[in-house]
Amino acid sequence: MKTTLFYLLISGMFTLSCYAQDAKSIIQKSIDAIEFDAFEMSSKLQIYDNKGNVRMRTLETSTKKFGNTTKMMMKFTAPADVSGTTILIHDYSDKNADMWIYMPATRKSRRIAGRERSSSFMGSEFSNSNMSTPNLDDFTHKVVGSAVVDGKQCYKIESTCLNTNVESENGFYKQFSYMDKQTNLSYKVEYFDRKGKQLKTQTLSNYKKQPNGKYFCYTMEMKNEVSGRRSVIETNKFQLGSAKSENNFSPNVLGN
Amino acid sequence: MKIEEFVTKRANIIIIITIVIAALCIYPITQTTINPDLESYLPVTMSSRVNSDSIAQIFGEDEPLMVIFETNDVLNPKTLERIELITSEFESSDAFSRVYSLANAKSIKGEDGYLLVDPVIIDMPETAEDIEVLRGEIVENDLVYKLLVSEDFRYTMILLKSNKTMEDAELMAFIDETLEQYQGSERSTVFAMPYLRLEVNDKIASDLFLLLPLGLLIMFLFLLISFREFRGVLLPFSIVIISILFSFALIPTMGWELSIIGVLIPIMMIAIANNYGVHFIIKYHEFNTLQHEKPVKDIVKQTVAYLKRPVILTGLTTIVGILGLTTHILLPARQMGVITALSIGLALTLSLFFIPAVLSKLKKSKAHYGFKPNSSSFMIKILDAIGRFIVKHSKLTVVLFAIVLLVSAGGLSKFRIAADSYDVLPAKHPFNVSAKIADQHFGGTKMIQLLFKGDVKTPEMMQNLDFYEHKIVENKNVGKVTSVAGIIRKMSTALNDPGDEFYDKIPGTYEAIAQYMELYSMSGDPEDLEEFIDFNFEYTVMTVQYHADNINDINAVIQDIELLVEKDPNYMFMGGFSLIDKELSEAVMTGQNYSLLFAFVAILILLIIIYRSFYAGIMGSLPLLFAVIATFGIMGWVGIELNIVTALMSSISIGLGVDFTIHMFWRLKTEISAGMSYEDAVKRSLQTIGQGITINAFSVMMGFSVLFFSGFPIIQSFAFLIILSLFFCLTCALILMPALCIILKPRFLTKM
Repeated sequence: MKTTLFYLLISGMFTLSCYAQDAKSIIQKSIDAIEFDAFEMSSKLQIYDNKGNVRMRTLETSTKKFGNTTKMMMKFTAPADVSGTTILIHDYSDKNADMWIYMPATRKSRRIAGRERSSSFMGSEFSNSNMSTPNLDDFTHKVVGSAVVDGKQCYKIESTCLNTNVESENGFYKQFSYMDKQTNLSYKVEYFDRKGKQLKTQTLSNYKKQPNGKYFCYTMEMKNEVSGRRSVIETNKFQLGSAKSENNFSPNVLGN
Repeated sequence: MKIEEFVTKRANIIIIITIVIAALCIYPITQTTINPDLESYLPVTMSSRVNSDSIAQIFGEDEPLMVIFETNDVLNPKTLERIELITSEFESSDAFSRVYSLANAKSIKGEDGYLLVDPVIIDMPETAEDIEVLRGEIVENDLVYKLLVSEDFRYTMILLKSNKTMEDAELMAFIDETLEQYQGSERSTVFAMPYLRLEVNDKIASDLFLLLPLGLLIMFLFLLISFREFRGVLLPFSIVIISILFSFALIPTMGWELSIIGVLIPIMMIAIANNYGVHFIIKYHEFNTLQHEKPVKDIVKQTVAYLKRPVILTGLTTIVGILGLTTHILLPARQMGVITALSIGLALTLSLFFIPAVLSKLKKSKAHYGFKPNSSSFMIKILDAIGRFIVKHSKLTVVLFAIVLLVSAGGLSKFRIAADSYDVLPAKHPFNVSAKIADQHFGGTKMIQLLFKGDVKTPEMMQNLDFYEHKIVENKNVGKVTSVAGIIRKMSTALNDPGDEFYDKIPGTYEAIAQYMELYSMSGDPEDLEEFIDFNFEYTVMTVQYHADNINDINAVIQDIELLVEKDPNYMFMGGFSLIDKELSEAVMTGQNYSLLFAFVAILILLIIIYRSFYAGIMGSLPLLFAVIATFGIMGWVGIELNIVTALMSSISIGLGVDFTIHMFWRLKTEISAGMSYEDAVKRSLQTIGQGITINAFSVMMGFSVLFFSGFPIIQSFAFLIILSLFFCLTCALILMPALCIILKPRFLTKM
């Protein structure tokens, strides 16, 4: 009896240790599976309140990687009153992203402080941090189980903020990601605060394999579990690669 | 069959029916529920309520709460840490849709080409220098200064918005537990309507548990001292008990709930329900003493025959007076009118039937010489002295009363209507302490919301809102005015540098406003903006936070606002809890006037019918008029405000007070029509019925005096006022009326 218990304990610890080792690499694989050096796309952002009213924005987005920095330009094309408003993000691998906004009505661009990564993305339920690649070393990761999501067998991975700075920058304390065991694609992410209260749920669907073998998610939804609001980003046009030069992603050219 | 015949012949049936009625009341009483929310009793058609509900439908029905902390300097790290922990605890609760404090407040500013939207406290200050830097930043931040932190930095608050998913008790327990869990040296108080409701709810229950037994005990002792025999105590007392049971049973039976006003019902029953029984006992003893040789049934019959008419008439006038409350705009006042009128009706019926029925079954009492008209008791001596004085100085008596009336009426100029329902609780209650702090050191506890319809992105509309914000705050009682215009202006200072043409200005184009809003919604929680503009950008709301000591202050703020916005085509209406409170106060005044007028006219008509004389109606109404004017005047002198409870006093007191005059007239009429002179009739009436009236009046006052032990100051004020008013009615009936009769010699007293 003692032998059996000891065996179970050792094997359990081994399993946990494997999970701990695997979690980060699974997430890395998941990021690799959807990471593009450059692309351009047109998308529609729909923001629903808890009564079902909807606001719609359309965006043109260009992204290109220059060295270790991914640069992204997002320009509103509708509604008319905010058309031309442009957001430029420089996402660094080793420090917080820089963000600028250009408002055509005042013909002014303004730099937004990096602390606001947890702020709303375009007034939606997505936050700015959802729009950029996370720094995996800011979190501890572990596989905590398996689950079926959208008909797919997924790993359930828990990622916890390393400290309160990371927590306040991202706007959550812990997240559970559900990643397809076969493709490593993420299908659902649940966000929680320090007290275990669920804040948001992100669902990702309509992945399409691109010519370079990577996947692009055409539909993303973020639901605010507290307020009942939700936001959906649907991409209607996706083009791999971008002809834009690094100069096109400079804050100086905003509004040109 | 006459009543006196019926009660002696059917005594057993009457006793059984009475016991059955009492027993039937038990079950409904167990179903009684308490509703402490005064607002819920207001008619749903009231304009302030309709408007507030319309605004709530667009912008949410959240209820604001303030948790206020007091210490020497709120910026000390220990206080800030405590605020942070408590804020975090509140944020993780599902009870609140918004938690706003120093721990999560933001500052929006432009600096070196950056738009900085940062937390107010990025890092906890560690040194005295850090604290001073933070203090300077807070003073510059109008999203925080004087809103979350007082000007002198002694107070800070956590502003919560309850989404009403928790019951009041659960919500307040959670707040208390959180404050207890994160203890500190700061004194904390809570200003919240759920707190007020909960406290009122608890006090209604504790009041009933204290006042009811105390009232019954006092009444029992009073009857015992007055009659010095158990039947004289137990019979009127049993009527009181059955009437209380009946009144409480009526509340759930009618589908109503017990409100703060409901506390008065059993006490009123204690005070009033024994009246008729007391008269029966006194008269029974009078006849028993004078004609002791007669059998008990004859004495009972004689008593009923003599008293049935005046008792029914006085009962009717009391019922009519109290029914005046049914014209009140407030549901609890109407409910009280119906319940007490029906219960007094029962007490009257039982006094007419049950007491004589039981008396006829009991052994005859011993003769009580204290009840004889020529007795030498202390009370008789006083009444006799009064009688002699009135006869000798009738004109002087009237002049003295006129002086008292004039002096009292001088206080009418200081008469005030309560501005809110906060004074339901004592001034030193933590709720009122926090209200005082919020009024003195923050924007105020009162709130008005102005609703505008239209495309708020148009510069004209936004500029109008900006203009209103700046003008409304000029009123000395207004602490803070917030709208989307303030945010847009704030954004303009962050997005532009001082000296720029767009700095600290509402942008001049539709697109610029739209883009500022877009940026603001990106800078924090997307729902922040929806505190002011609805999701579809169709409506916008402006919130005016202010304080008011009385209804005139509220009216001044409203008048200022109306003058500004009345010609604005985008302005729709105003709402908010303080307007409901104001309308409640006005309803209290209007309701009182209606009830008073109804009671007055009804009693006047009854008196005219009873004595078949218009003159009798006018004369009989004089004591009531005197009591009402003098009491209101004294309210002004001593600073008692007219509120939801004190406003009920006048129609109740005149309903009760008219009884004294009816009994007095009745006796005067008996004596004068029998040939006695007015002077002798006055002396004789005071010696005889004067004693009954006095015992009756003091027993009623004694009953109401129990209310001094209430946990509600407004009920204590009610006790003082109704006792005062009854005292005026008593003195008018015993002194002023007889003096006037001697001077005027009215003819209606000569006919029987």
